[in-house]
Amino acid sequence: MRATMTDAAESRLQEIVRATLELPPDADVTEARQLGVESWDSLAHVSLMLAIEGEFGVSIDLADQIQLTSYAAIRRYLQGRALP
Amino acid sequence: MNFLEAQRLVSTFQGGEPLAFLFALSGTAEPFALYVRAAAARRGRAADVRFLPFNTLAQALRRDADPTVTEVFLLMPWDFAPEADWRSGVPESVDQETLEARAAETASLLARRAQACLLYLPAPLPPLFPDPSRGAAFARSLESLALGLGARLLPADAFALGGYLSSGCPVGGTWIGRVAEAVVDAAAAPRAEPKKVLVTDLDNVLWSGLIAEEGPEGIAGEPSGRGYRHFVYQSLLRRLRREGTVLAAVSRNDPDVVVAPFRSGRLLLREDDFVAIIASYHAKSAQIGELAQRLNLSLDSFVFVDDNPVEVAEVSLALPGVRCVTFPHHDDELVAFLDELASLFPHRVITAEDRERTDMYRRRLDGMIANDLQGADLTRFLQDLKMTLTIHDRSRGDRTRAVQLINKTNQFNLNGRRVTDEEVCAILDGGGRLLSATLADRTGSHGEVLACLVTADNTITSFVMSCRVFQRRVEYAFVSWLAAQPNPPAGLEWASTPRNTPFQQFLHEVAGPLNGAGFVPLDVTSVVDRHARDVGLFALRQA
Repeated sequence: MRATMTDAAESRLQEIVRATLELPPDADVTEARQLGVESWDSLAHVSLMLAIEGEFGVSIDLADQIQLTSYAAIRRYLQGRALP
Repeated sequence: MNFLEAQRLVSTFQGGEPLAFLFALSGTAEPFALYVRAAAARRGRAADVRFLPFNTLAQALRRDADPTVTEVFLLMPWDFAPEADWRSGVPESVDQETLEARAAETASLLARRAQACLLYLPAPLPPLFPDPSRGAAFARSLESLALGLGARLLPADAFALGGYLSSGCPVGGTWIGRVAEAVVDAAAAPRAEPKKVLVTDLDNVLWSGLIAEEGPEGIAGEPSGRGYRHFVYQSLLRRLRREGTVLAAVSRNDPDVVVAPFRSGRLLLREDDFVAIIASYHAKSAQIGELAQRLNLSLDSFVFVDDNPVEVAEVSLALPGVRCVTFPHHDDELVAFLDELASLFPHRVITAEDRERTDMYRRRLDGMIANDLQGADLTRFLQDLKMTLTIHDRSRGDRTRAVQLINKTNQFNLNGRRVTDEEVCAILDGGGRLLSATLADRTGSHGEVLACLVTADNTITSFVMSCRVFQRRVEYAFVSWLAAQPNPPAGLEWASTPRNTPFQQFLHEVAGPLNGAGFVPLDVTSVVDRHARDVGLFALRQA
């Protein structure tokens, strides 16, 4: 059974993505993709992964980190984890 | 501290005292930036952190440290042994001796940066050796090296292999906030400069016993019996001296008395291990201040060790920069004491100059230091001791301790005259008085510390006090009390002895200038007036 993501968790995720990628307040983070966001470089990706790990108490494998290149992919990944 | 909390701390921080430092690690440090700024903001500091470029720690260690820059190193096992870096995979084969030599070389480079703050993350190592137990032992040896450099150990769980392989950042997201806090704590910790000079008391510190009372044969500083703990203390001082700590001694004694034990060969330390052995009856604070001036060293670099809380208080009050450490009265406090003392003189490396420092400083001094020096006003400290002075009339009943005190005291002794019990008995039968005093304070009882024999014609013929209670104004309070009694003493039978300088100073203060030996008259009204303040230091009782 797949775990679902609460509104609160999704809100935190959006806040993290907006902050780490330095997106403007009115940007729709749910549409963010690494290829379409200039600030989503390798260093920002490291910061984003660390922020997600710390915020949601998970450890993301290297193979998964490489795949998490969009908001939607991150959301799907976290939905598959039992979040606190 | 997680990401969003760090973000909030930084965005709401109003600014504070700058905290500038270099955060050095061999991996990717940039992800720490936000967390470090947040940890500093939480402490009211504005972090101004600089990082080393990726994978340049080894090069940075080979450059001289900039003394104006605070450095915080986050060390990983592969900073000591590059073959153990997970990012290089498991080496085909390794030579343990080469690994160890390389680790020792890195440790020596770190040791040169005496002011650097070190954190060590004991991340697991790849399987380097065919025998896993050798790998475990090697990991421990790296940890020991780091600890030996004074590094603070971080939890091994803080290491995240996935993140390290992907980005070079060795710390995972669940730990990065906590590691950043440790980094900021290290950067913000006051830089305690190692101390340079250790000034030690002698009696009951460097040796057991009172040299002026018991003589060179009566003291003990050898590795046996009551001298053992003092021998251990001496052995630490010997080590510190070898490492460059400058040793000095101060003692309320006569110079020729205190050097005798050093010349006897019975002590571990010799006279020339000390830059100065200062023996006088001046305030110890004044002697230390004079020594600092003549050595041209800041008082902040001095440590003072004494067993007497009054001496410790006097130096603390007069010289707040001097670190005062009390020599323990009980064996079970000795370990902590020695540990504290050793930690005040840390040395990561010992140079030839360190070993010669005492000789170098001794050349700056041209002999003993003894002049007219003033100490601290101890009134408040003495008031806080809550001292009770109880006067006993020993004219009748048991007078054993009072007579014993007269016959064994050398320093605070009116004339050095020894008396038999029969002689005392004759004076008492003739109408004389034998008084003694016991002292207690909030720390406990000091026992019977003073004795005074007064003849029928109101002449004090014996007056002694234990040197254990010097500087507490006991003698002044007692003589003031005595002067206020019916039939006060008319004077004292004074004589100078080779050892009774402390009494001479007291008598000079109480009765004015002395003109050779003989009867010294006492102006009781003046004594009562001038020493009322001393009486006020005590709860005075009559048994």
